Amino acid sequence: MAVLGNILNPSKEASNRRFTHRLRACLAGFIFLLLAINAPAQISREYQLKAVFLYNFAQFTEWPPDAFADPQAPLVIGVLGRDPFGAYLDEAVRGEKINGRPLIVQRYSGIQDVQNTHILFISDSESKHLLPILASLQGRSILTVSDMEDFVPRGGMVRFLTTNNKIQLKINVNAVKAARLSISSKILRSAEIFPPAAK
Amino acid sequence: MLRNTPIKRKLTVIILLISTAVLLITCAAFFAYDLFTFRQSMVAHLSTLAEMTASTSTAALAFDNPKDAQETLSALKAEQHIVAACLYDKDGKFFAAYPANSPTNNFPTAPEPAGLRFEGSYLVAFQPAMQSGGLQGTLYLKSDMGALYERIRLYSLIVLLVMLGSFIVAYLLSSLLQSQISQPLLQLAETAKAVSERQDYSVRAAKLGRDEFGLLTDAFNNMLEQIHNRDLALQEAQQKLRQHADDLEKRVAERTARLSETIAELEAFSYSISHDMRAPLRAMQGYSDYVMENYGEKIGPEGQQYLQRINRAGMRLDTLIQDILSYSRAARAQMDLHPVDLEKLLDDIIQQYPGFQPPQVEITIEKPLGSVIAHEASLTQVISNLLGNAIKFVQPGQTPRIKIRAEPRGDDLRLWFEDNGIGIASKDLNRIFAIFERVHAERTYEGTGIGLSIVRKAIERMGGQVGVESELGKGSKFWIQIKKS
Repeated sequence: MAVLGNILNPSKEASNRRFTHRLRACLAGFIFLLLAINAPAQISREYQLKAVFLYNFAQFTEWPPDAFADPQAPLVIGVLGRDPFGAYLDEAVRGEKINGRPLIVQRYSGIQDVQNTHILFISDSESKHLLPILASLQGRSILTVSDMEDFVPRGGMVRFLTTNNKIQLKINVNAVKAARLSISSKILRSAEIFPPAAK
Repeated sequence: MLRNTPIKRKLTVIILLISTAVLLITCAAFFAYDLFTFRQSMVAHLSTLAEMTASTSTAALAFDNPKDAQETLSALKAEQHIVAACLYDKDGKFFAAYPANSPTNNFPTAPEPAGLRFEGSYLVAFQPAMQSGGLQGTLYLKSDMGALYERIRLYSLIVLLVMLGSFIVAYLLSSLLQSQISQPLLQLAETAKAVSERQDYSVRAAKLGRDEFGLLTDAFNNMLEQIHNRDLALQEAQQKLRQHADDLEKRVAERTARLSETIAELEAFSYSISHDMRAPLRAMQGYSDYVMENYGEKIGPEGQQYLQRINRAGMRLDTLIQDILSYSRAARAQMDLHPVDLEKLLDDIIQQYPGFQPPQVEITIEKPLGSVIAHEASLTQVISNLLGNAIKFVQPGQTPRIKIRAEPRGDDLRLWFEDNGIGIASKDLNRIFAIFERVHAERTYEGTGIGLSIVRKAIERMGGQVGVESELGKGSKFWIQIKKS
């Protein structure tokens, strides 16, 4: 039985992250008192799952042919800013191949480092520079993913949304289309679509 | 089984049996083929369904969305034969079930190798859910064979209807067509029956076609024609023969009547002649005796000798007449037959005639003799004559010896008279029983030649036979044979 993405301390709002951090710390301390060593594992469990999701995006997304130098060129998953995944992302992609392509994880400190990337996770640490980052990625076939709350309305493509201890996806289909990417309808079916369809 | 049923029924039954058998085999073959292909298509269908469902479920598996998976699986509702389905994630852990909320122990605890197989009355499939070459999980589908059973039910119904329909059609057709064969046969049979029942050979079978039955009918009619002709000829011949036989019988009866009339006339004539002759003979003898007594001395010795000669001749004539009368009696008298004790009869005869007693003769009787059915008076005459003959025909100076014995022969009794007389030459054996036949000259042995004729006549009239075995000089063995009592 798959263990759902149980997160004891979900960070709902990016804006009051401080409070959240405090709350998380308090809770962590509380849980630490109760469960001693369980709390850090629970927190990282969220990103363990998200790391797998990042890898899964590679499977459900199609890039235009010019996104790769050649048919054997690796598919690059990049992390911009502070890396929340630790070793989980490397573990998730280790040894995996998608349509014959090996997977590579790259970490960038600034947008200028992002070169030949296919999936880019923009860490919360970059929230202040989000607009310039998104603007510089304009026209490039890079699937952008983030935890940030206003990521999608601002022009980001996929946002991880945690509700009821479950990670959901919110997807900006226009941005995806503009980047000449195609996300499998199987994902779209269960994701929250932006902009919402007119009723 | 069918041996005694009428040929019409037989033909119909045979045709029905054959058509039913052919139809059954054909239906069975189609049935089997269709079920086989239907099973194949069921497998193909489930396989497609499994691939589609698995493919649709990849995102739910990849992004850990059991609810979405649940929804995907619930689309299986449209497939009424899918009784259960579930998804395992790529680690083989249970992920989602259909119908929703089914207990997990309804499903295999872990995914099994991909493929389809029949499990009891279910078809089961394991299908890996792949996305871009990566395994996301495994789909399990379980389909009942309801479709197959439905198919079988439908087919059975169709086969039943087809069988029923074709049975009716076959029955109608065979009823119509069987007359092609049965009609000529039945007609032949009818004709044959009419012929044998009424002995009417003028009946003819109608010819219905120029096939083998036609040939048969022709042959049959030909045969009837021939039989008819022969029958007519036979009847004619029989009639002629009967007429002939009637004629013949009539003629024989006529002649017999005439003959017996003649014989009766003759016998009556001889009887009356004999009878009437005795009176003048008596007169002659009486007067010659008278002359002899009263005038014997006057006529001298020579005259006396002549008179004696006349007398002797008269006596001979008397004997002759008496014999003829005896013969006539034997021939004409009423023969009432009664049981006769032979020993008593013989004793009586020997007592009555001194000539049959010693020392004239030695008669030996081998007792017992038994008794016969006979006319006593005639039998007495017969035995007397035979004994008389035996005594008469011996060598001069020899004492006659007679042995009498009886020999049973079936229903008859043969009485033997064996003597030591002169015997009879074989050339004469045939004629001694005829009237007036004499073997010896009158001078040697006296006799009229009538005695044995009387024997034969009398015995024959009693329904018996007579005979003799003899050799010249060695005695004779006479026998008479009549019915035992």
